[in-house]
Amino acid sequence: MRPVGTRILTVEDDARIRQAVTMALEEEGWDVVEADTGERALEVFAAGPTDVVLIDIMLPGIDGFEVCRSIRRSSDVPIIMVTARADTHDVVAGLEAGADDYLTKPFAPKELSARIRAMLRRVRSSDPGNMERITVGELEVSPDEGLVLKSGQELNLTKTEFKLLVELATQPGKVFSREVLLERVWGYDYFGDGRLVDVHVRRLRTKVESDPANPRHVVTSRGLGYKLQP
Amino acid sequence: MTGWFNRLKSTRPWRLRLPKRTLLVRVTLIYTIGALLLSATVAIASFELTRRQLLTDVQAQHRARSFTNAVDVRKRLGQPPPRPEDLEADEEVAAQYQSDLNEFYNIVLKGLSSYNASQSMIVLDNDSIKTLSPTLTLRSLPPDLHPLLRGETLVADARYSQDGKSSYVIGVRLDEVDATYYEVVALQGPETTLAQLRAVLIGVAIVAALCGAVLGITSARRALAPLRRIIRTAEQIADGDLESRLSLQSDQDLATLSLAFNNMVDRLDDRIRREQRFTSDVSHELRSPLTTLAASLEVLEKRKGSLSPAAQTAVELLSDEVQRFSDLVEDLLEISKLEAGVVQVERLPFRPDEFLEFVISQSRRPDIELIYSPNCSDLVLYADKRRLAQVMTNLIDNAEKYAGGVSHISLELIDSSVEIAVVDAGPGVETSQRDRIFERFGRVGSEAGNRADGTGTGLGLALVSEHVKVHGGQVWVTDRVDGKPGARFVVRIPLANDTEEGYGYEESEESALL
Repeated sequence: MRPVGTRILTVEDDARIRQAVTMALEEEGWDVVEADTGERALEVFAAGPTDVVLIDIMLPGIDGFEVCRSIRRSSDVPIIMVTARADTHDVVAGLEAGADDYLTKPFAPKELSARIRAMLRRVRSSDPGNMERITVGELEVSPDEGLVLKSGQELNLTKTEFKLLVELATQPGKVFSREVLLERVWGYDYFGDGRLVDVHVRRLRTKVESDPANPRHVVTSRGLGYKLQP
Repeated sequence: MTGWFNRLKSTRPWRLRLPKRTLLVRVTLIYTIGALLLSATVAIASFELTRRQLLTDVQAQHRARSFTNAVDVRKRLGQPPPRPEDLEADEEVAAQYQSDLNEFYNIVLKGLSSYNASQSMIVLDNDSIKTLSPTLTLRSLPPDLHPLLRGETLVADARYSQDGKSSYVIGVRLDEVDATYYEVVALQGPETTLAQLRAVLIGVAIVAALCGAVLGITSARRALAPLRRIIRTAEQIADGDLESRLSLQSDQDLATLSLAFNNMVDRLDDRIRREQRFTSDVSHELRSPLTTLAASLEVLEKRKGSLSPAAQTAVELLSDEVQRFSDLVEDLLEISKLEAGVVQVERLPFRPDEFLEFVISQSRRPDIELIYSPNCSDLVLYADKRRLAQVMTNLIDNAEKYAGGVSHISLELIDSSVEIAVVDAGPGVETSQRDRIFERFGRVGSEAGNRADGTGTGLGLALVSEHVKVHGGQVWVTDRVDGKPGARFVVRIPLANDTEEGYGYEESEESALL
């Protein structure tokens, strides 16, 4: 896929990293806009259409988590967090803040491009298609329109949450392991980080469940994975 | 000296528990011995006192009875059978008289009140001895009675033992009838009583000693309870639980100790945290320039075609070294986290055969032969896939670097453990080096030849060892089992059947994050 006209916002305070990553991403053929602070990033994001946001967690002023949360309030744009620490806390907090995926420094721009491509594929594959409308209990999922209705009310899901729900809804009652979900939703092979699935399931529950603490629809099958039930 | 020291070092738990045991034993022993000594002294003293009192009483009784008998004897001997006139002339009369006399003495002796098989003897001044006892003689009397025999005293008594039996003898001089009366009583009654008393007292002493022991154990336990709490807390801390603290004690001495102990742990904890933060900071600082390097290099690599051959080689060298540096940073961080015990092992169920196939397919040598033993089908391993993959990748890379590549990998189920063997056809590993190669930067021999490849971080096998350890497994290297030259690296991971751990992360983190 030749990503012509795909605009990537890179938020990074380290000028050298920003410059090098921008250069490498442009070599890959993406359009890149830069921001050196969280405040600047929000300005740039508001100013024009952005297809993917790449945010470094450690920023002076408002940090990456906050930028992520601010963007999430108004947009379902794919967000990739970049962290120098693969500690549980940073990664999970980034995902909780609304990031769709994460990368650990130092990363190869080639790998980053692959992640971006997987993410855009995720977004686009839910646009056209010929999947039927699926009804699970009070939930109504229509993959073609990218719509989820709960008791007739439209829910506001991010693209990744939506893809996750559609994946689970293809076979209601069937248990999907984290590996399978990582592969189908994120495009990871054998060694994806299971926390991606766990946090997204949690985020999904806060939107589709009446009582997220005692989920009725998106259920954990202990030791096996997750399933969707009416 | 070193051996002793090493033993001490290697048996830390033993060292920690030793004071607990000996102190307990010592206190108990002191209590037991104390109780035994005390009760034995009391028992012996009371036995002796009772014995004396008893003997005095018994002897007083005997004496009283003997005096009564003696008075009786004196009265009766005062009325002997009349002596016939013609005693000297007529032999028949003399014999009759003698017979009467004997009969008279017998009647006197028989008429005496007897008790406790007492034996009486009347010794006349003409040295004639009258007694009903077959054993009683003057010779058998103890020397204490000699003054009486010699006429120096009127009454004498003595306790003596003969043939293992105690007896009491009393002699009374009867001047009026020119005779001495002796009475011997076996001290059997008091002896039996004393034997019973002794048995009872010994029993009491033993019971007292046992009570002392129980008291000792109880009080030692109570006294040592704070010490045991300290030991338990210290052990928890040694196992990596730095949150453990001692609860404050009301006892002043213990409170000081607890406070000092908690202070020490606080400082230790603080230091470890600072070190972890330092590692984390270093990692961040190293990762940032590496990111710039990696991104810039990629731009260069894309444009490699337009560079001169020398510049191309330079880019390749740079690329390799950046990769190696980046691996080194990752490995160093990983190993320092593993050694600090702050890693989270994410165990998930998976099939080891499928896992190995995948790892091999992703490795530098996807054609490596994989040999399963028949009992390995349908096995499910609960392990951290990422860590195990690094173990396999590092072993495969290691064989690639030092032994010309992996010959084959085998998978076996032995007891309740999975054994994965990575076999190569290289020079093998010398016995003396077999532990060392699993240490950090513990390359075998540092000859230039070994490092010609220049891609290793020197941490590969150390990481293998640490990853296997967090799974409760083992890794070691041996010769090949088929006798051919080469090394056989064996990884053994126990099959943990704990399904609870599978998705534990999600549930446990939930409350903290929402």
